[in-house]
Amino acid sequence: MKRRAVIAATLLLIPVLAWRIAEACAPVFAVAVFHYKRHPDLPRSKFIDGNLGVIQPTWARSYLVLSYRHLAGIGLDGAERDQARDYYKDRDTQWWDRIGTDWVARWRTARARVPGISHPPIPLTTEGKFAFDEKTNSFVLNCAEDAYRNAVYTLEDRSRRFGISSAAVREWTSGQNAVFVNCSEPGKAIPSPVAAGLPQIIQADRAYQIAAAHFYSGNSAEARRRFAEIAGDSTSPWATISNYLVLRTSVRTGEAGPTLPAAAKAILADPKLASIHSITANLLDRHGVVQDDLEYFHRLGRLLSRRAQGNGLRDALWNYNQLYDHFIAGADPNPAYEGDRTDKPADPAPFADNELSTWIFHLQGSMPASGRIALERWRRTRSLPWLIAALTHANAATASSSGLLEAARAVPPSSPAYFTAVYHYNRLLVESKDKSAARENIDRILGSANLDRSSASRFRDLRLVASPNLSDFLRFAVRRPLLITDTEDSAEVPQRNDWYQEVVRRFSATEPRLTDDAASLINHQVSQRLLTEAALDSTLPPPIQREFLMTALTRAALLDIEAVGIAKALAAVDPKLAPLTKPYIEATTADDRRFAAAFFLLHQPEANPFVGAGISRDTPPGRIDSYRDNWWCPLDNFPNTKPPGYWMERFEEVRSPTPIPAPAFLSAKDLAETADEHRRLAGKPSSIDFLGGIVLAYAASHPNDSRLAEALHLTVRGARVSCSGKDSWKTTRAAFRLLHARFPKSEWARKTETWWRDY
Amino acid sequence: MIAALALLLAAAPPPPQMNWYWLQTYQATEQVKPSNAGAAFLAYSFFLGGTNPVVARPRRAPLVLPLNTYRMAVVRIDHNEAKFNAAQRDELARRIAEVPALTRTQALQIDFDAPESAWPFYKALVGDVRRAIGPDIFLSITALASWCGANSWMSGLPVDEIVPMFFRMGRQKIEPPLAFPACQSSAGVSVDEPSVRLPASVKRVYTFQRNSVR
Repeated sequence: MKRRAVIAATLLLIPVLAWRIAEACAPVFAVAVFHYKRHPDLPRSKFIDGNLGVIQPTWARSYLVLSYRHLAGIGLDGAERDQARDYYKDRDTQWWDRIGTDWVARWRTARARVPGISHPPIPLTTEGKFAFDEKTNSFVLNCAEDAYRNAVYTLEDRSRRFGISSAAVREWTSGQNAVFVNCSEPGKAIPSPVAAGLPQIIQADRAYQIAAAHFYSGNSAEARRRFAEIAGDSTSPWATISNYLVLRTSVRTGEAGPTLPAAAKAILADPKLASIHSITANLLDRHGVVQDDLEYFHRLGRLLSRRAQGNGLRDALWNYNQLYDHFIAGADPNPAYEGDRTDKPADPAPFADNELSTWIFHLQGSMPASGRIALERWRRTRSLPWLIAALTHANAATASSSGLLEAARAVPPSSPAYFTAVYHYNRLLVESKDKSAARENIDRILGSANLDRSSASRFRDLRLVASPNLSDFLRFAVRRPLLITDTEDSAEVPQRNDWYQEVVRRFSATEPRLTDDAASLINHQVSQRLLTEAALDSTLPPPIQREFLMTALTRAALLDIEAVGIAKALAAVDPKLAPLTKPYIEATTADDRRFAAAFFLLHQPEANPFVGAGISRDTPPGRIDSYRDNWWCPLDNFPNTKPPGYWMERFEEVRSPTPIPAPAFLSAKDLAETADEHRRLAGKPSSIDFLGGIVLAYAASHPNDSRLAEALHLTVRGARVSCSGKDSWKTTRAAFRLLHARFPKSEWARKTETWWRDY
Repeated sequence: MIAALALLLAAAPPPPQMNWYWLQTYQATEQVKPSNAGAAFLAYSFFLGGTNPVVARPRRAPLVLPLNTYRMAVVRIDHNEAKFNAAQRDELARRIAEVPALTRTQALQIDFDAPESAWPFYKALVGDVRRAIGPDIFLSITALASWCGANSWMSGLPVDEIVPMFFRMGRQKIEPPLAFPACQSSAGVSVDEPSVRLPASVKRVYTFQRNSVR
């Protein structure tokens, strides 16, 4: 019953599916999106037209339904494409790229071209759709958009037949104008029969217009009688649809009784009425006749896998996706919100009835065995949908022997599966260490005119791993994001809410940024030596080069490596840092160098041994971040460091590194070098314990250094605003006591009024 | 004949007691008190944002009223970072002016919160609406009590009534009587706030019903 209520609401064309369920009450941060995981690239009209790009199993399922239709050769005809666009308009996603059509506006434009007649105004306020109901003092949706779309197409057809200036078209348009007057003012205008001399089809159109005018006026008995007459007139172009409208009139006025199921099922059983099967099925459900949800879900799956769904596709998509969500529930491998996920294993039974449902279920990897099942299905059917599903799950070990690689390579550029097949073919090459072949392929594919930006970004991620040298790697490591959004946005859409705009507008989407994969590779697979080489590459955008240099200097400090070259480069990239890097550059002993590094890094809360992807850090360099994204967390269990809070994105990534193959330019020796460094990093304490420890040791051996008081103050302050270890208070207390004992009258002691035991 | 009678009845000024009905679904057949109270029901909500065209939302919640209840259509205007430009004013005025005919009412009330920078916009808008609906439609506007000082920006507005609202005022408590004469004959109050002592000059009171959702 609850489900029915939900579906009924959607059928009333209320744009209810808000991607954002609730406004966040936790901090929200900007994030850069390099490829879309939840939807195809924008504008989606290209996708709807069959340019699918690289199909992602993480897309919202409506996109997978449309993908399946294109892959299976069902496609979408003109009416279905209109329906798909209107479906995304219903879902309140139109504003992303505005592919939906304003059918009322198009009707206004179309009728204005007909000369010699005056047109009644369409009230702005009701937009020609809502009628005021005096009994309830409220507005009801009277003329849905379908009516205007139908009018536009009919006018275009009649104009082609008779000429836009013909008496036939003028008569037809006047009649249609009268029909639509009843949308906001029911009963005001019923068209008269046309003169006998006009063409037969115009006569039939007028009969339909008169019935429609009664329908919108609320004269249900008269409308039903007239639609029934038209349904029985085999010469009328409106005969088929009128069978449906007889039922719809009854449902709309609440007069549909127990006869409705039988009447609807008679339509559904008649193959000559196939073009109204989908909308009749939807009408049945709207009326609450369908009792068995699963049966309805199966029927929708079968309908959506057929051609010529016409005006039913929009509703069918709505209902199918609602029911899919219902049956997959907490076992959804791709929930919009992670909190919706449960440990319950997915039950394949509800999805076994038809190929569409089964394909989506296994493409998304709903079961551990989905990859194997997809491969078996492909072997049995050799169909494109199952090839794509099998490729999506394939790994390098099995792809070659199973014949998937050859099948992927054989997909022609004209196929809707082309970019997906090429992507996985090259992904498997990269994983099988044949990176040079992949590199050539990807370079070629990146030149394709039809490749959308989001899919191109996926290819660039592959190309990154196939890079033969460091400078080539850096070329693919940095790129402009598709979008800057926020951490609460699970739909990857531009932000229009003021609060979220405030979060994201500080960051430019046109500025090149380090990609997620590149950051992961640098943090987990690139050694200090190569990081230094990368950091000295002056072709990097200055903010990224600065971050690389700061990361390299921090790592050098942690590994106790001399890094004068990095310090010099930092001062060149950011001259404000020169006074702090100078003592490091000029240090003559290891102790002096360590202290100079600590003193410098204590001034730079952005210092971190890991680079960040995208936005990297919310607060500009040199300033304390209000959410403790300052310095680094304890590395005692690195790389399994538990993040202190979800907002420290890069520590989340450090904890759960993305499984990416090693880039081509890294030798076994390079990787061993990195692994050795990581072993040495793994024992390091929190930033403040590490830097404060250096300061305290230096204070013991160099009690008169003029920088000590400030260094001790920064240590106490730093512990308060960073990711401290459980015993960091010992360092802080020692720094506080030493500061007040040795420099009691200093400005730094005055600024350091207390220390904190618990953070 | 009946229609003409109904029109005559509807064209009369609102009764002394008016109930505001906002977005709730309401079966008012039995509950309306006093029994001769009129109904000012939210018919349309309009939204202005940036320089965008007006977004209009019709009332979808049913409101069943006793027969012969005096009916006044209310339109609410909300805004967020609106530029309040001429195109928005023109479109908004045309949309508002359509409401009495669409709702078959002879009385219209415009409800809005205007920042000071938007006062010229609203002043012009009310003038546009009045010109479009003509003199026979009873035109009412709501007002913040703080707008009703002696030198009110609403001076000269072509309206039949200004309804200062004595509720939801936060810490800025303003009590009648108000200095601006046009603010002295009507008042808006809410049943869920302490009662306001209204002066004898107040001839018509608009009341938010309990459970009203504003």
